Amino acid sequence: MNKIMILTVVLAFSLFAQSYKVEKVQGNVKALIGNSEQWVDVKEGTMVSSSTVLLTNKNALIMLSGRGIKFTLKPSAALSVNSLKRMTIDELLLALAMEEILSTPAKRSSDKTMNTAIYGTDESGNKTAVLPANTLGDLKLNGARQLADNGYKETAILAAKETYRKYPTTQKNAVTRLFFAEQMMNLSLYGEAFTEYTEIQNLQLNDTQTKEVQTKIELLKKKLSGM
Amino acid sequence: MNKDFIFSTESNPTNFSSVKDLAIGVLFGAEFAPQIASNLYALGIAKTIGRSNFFLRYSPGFFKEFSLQKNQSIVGNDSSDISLKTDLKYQEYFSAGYSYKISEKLSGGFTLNYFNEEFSQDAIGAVFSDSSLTLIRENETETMKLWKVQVGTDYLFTPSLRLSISASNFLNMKNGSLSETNKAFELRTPKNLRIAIYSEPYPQVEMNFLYETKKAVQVCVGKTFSFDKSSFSLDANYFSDFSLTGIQPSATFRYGNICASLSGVLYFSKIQRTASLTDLTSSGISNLVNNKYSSNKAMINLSYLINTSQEKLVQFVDVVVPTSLFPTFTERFVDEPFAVARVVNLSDKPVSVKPSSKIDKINSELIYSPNVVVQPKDTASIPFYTIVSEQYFSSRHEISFANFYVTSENREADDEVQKPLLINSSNAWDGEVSNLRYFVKKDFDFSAATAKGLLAKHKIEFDTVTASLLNFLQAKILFAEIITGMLYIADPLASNDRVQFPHETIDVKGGDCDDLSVCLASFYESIGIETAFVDYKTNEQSRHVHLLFNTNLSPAEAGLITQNDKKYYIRKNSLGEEKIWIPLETTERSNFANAWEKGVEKFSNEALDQLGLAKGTVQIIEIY
Repeated sequence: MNKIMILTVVLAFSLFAQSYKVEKVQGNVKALIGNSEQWVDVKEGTMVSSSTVLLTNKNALIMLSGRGIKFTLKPSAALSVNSLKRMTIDELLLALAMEEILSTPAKRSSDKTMNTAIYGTDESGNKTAVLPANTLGDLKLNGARQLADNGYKETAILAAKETYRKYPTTQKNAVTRLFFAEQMMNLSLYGEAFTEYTEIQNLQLNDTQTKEVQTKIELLKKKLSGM
Repeated sequence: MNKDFIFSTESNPTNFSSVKDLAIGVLFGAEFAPQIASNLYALGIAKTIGRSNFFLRYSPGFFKEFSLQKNQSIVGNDSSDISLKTDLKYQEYFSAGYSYKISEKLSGGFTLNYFNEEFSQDAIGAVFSDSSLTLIRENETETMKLWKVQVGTDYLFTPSLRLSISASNFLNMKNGSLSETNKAFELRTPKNLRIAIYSEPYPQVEMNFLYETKKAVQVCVGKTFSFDKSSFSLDANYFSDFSLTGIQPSATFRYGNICASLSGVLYFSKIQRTASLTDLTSSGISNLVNNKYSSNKAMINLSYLINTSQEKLVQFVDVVVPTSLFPTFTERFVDEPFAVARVVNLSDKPVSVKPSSKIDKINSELIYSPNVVVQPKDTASIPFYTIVSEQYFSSRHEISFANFYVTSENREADDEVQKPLLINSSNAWDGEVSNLRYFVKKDFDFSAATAKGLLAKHKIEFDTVTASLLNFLQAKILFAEIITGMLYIADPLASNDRVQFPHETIDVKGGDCDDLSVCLASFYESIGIETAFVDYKTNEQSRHVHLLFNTNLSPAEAGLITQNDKKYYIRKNSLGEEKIWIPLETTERSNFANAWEKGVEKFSNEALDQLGLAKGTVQIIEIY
C-alpha cells in the first residue's frame, strides 16, 4: 500500500512538473489530451499536460501559467502545450535533422502500390471531426506564429514544419512561410532558410513577395558562400 | 633442367630438381670413332611427389671396353701363334637419385650409380697327355660390382642464384674380389668435393661455375629465347680436368611439354685412339662417358614432361573468417563477404585469381567469388562470398569447416586453406535489429498464405471500405487475428540471441518483442504493407523493438483514421509522395488501438521528444 502511495505521489509530481495551470479561459476553448480522439472543453483552474493540444475558436483565448512562464493563446489558433519550452539552436538543429531522418526512409528497392483495387462506397467519413483538417492546419500555424511572437522561435519553427508535413495545404500559405523563413534567418539558420525560400519561390507569390524572396535568396547565397 | 635431366647423376649429384610432376626422356648418342658407333645411351624417368623427387635411369649405352694384347703368345697344335690378351669391360647399368625439399630454399639429396666391371685375362695352360705336353690358352674372368654414392645439398639464395655442394666416393660399396693384376684396372673413385654456383644474372641468361677438388672445372653459359608457347636455348659448357679438356655445345627447343636437345662433345685434348696395358694400369679411367679414350660425339635427347601438378602462381598469406556464421542472414552473404583472404602472387606476371569456397554442412558445391587481378609479387585482399540456401535449417549450433581455394590459370587450385567455423542455429540472431529482416523474409510463403486466408474471412469489410483505407484495415485485422491473445514469452536464456520464425511464433502462440515484431512484419510485408522496425537502444542491457507501418494514406486523408495528429508520422516514399505511417507496440497484445497508442507514446517520447532519432539512440530500420 505504501508503495502505491509513493508511486502516486511521484507520478502526480511528475505530471504537475510538466503541466500548466489554466489561469483564464475566454470563449470556446477545446483540448485534445494525449492520444485521445475527442476534443473536450477546457475550464479555468484545471491543469493541462504537455501532451495536450489546445484550440481556440474565433474570439476565444486561454491563458496558461507554470514552469516559470505565462502564455496566452489568442483566438483562432491551435498549439501543442509541449511547444512551450526553450530550446537551444543546437537542439533545434538536431530536431530538424531528426525530422529529415523520420520523413525520408532509406531507399527501398521498389515502392509498393496498392495491390488490390477496392470498389464500394466510402462510409468511413469524418464523423467526429471538430474542424476540417485544412482549418486545423491553419490554426496550428497561427499557434506557431504566436509562439514565435512570444520568443519561442525555435519551437515555433518546429511546430510550423510539422504542420506543413501533416497538413500539406498549409505549405501554400506564402505569408506564413515567409514569416517562418524570416525566423530561421534571425536564428542564423542560413542553410535551412535558403532551402525554405527556394521552396517558397515556387509558390504563387505577389510582386512584393517575389521581390522579397529574391532579395533573401541573394543575401543567403552570399552568407553561405562566406562573403 | 628439363633439357638435361637425363644426365642427372653426372651433372646433378644432389638430384636437385625442378620437375613439377613427371619427366621421361631418352638419349641417343653417336661417337665419332674410326667406326661410328651409335647407341641408345639411356632411358630416364623423374617423378616429384610432394617434397620428394625420384630419378631412375637405365643406361645401356654407358659402357667402355678395352681389348689389350699381352706380350705373350703360344704355339698352337697347327704351329700357329696364339696371342694372349686382356679384355676390360666397364658398364653402368643404372643409376638412381633422390632429393628432399627441406624448405623453399634448402634441399638435400643423393645419387647412386651401379657399375659392373668385368676383367678377362688370357693365360697359358698345360695339358698333359700320355706322351706329350700341350700348351693351351686359358681364360680367367673376374667381376666387381660397384655402387658409387654421391650426396649433397642445394641452397637457393634467390630464385636466380643457387649454391650446390656435394661429395662423392666417400661411401662407395663394392661386391666381388679381384686379383692383384685386375685391381689395377678398377674404375678410379677418388674422393671428391664439388662446389657449383648456378645463376641467372639477367633474365633468361644462365651462367654456371663448377669446381671439383679432384682438380676439375666447368663453366657454362646459356641463353633462352621465349616465344608464345615455345622456347629455344643455346648453351656452351667448357670442362677441364687439366688433362682432358673440351666443350659441350647444345641447342634445345621446347614446345609445350616436349623438349628436344641436340648436343655434342668436342675434345680439345689429344684423344688416345688406343689404350695400352701400362697406361690403363697406371692411370685407369674414372668416367665412362668422358675419358681420354673418348671420341667426339653427338647426342640427341628427347624429353616429355607431364604436368599434372602445375606450378603454383598464387598462395594464401592468411584468411580472416568470422567467429561464427548466422545462416539465416542469407541476403547479407550476397552483399558482404563472409571472409577476406590475403593472397600473394608468386609469379613474375599479373595473375587473375579465381577465389572459391565451400562451407561444410552449408554448401553442397563450390561457391565462386569475383575474380581479382594480383600484380607480380604483390599481395591483395580477396573477398569470399557465399550462398546459404533458403531451405537450410538447423536447430543447433554446429562446428564446421570453411574451405578456401585460390585458382589461377591452372586447372586445379593453386592453394587451399581450411578454417574452423561455428555455424549458429537458424534461429540465432546477432542482436542487430537490421538483421531481423532476414527472419521476416524466411517465412514469406507461409505468411502470405496465412494472411490471405485470414483476410478472406473479412471480405464484407473490405467491400464496404474506401480503397485508400485498405492497408490500414488489413493491418488492423491481421493484428487482431495474429497478435491479439498471444503470450509474451521471453527468450529461453534471457538474451537477445534467438528469434522465432513467424510460423514458430504462430505455433507457440507467443514470443518476445522481436519475435512478435518479426511475425507481424512478415504478415504485413507478405501482402504488400511496408514496415519498418524501430530499434530502441537506450538501454544496452535490454533493447526493444516495435513496428512502424505504412497506411498508404496521404496526410490529407489522416482524418479517415484519427482526429489526433500526434498519432501518426509523415514519411516520403521513393516517389517523393508523403504517406502516413503509424507505430505499433507489438507487445501490447490486447487490441490494435492500444498497440497503436502504446507505440505512439514510446515513439513520440523516446524518438522525438528526447531527440533519440537524431542522437542515434533510436533507429528506424526499413525492412526492405
